[in-house]
Amino acid sequence: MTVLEVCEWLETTSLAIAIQESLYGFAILVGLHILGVAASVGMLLWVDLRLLGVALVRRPLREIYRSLAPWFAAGFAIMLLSGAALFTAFATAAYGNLFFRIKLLLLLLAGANAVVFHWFVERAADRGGSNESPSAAARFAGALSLAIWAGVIVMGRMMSYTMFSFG
Amino acid sequence: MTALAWLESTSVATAVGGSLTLTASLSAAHLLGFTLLSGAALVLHLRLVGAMLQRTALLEVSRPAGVLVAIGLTVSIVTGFLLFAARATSVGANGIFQTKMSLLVIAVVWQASLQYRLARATPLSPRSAPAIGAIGLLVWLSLAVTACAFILLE
Repeated sequence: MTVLEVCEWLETTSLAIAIQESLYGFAILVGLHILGVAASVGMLLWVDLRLLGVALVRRPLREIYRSLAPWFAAGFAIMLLSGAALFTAFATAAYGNLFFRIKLLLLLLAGANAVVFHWFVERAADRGGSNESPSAAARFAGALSLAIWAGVIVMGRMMSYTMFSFG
Repeated sequence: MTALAWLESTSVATAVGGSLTLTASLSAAHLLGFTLLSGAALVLHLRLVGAMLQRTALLEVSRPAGVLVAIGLTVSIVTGFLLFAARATSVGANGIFQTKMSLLVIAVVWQASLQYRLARATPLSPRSAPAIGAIGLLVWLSLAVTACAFILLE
């Protein structure tokens, strides 16, 4: 089975048909997706700014990360679930869209960056450092995360303008 | 010619309206601005409610929040105005858009007064801070939901 055939099959599932035929289902899912992105990335940005040494520098990185993580994780869950449901309903159009493919690639990078970052934060905290100026690695991780997520947002918008006839 | 019809006939508005790439790029920048704004409003108000960053001094949160809100608002308003200009007559008559603009004014006044109060280091009582945080969350959430409704239901 090719990826395209999987996409075609996904569009015939009951979830996909329910979304396609619902009057407000699509709009509600896109709304949740946009709100999830803005809330989660907007809060994750604070961790990135802490990494860059720009904000919240008087408290240890791990404390900031642990306080914010449940909130941006909840936003990411909303974003991923609504995004998966939308993909199911319009899988072939999304599969053929260049911006969607770039967005998926950036999401994979963001996921890998998050795993490395999590490991880095816990280890850095074990060494005890908190108030000293951030290392070059920390600054790089913060800048990389900012760039990846800005890219995800831009690709997502470009995708919606090129897949559908409205924004 | 009404002001909105004139706005829609300007060269900038016709350039935006005639280019899908320009419209999509402006929309992407609009969402980036909205993301800065959302994150800052959420973190500041959740801190007031007592849901996060309890060991961080309020001023340590409110200062960067104020900067992020200012940058996010500027980007959102400039890009939003250009997107609006391209379809000024139809969008101007849209009820959801009018609600969105009214909520935007309320949210900006709310945020400006809160930032002013926090910048002057006026102490918030332990009882009033969570209430102020909850009201602020409601104000910003209402704007965000209306903004999404405008994009999708117009």
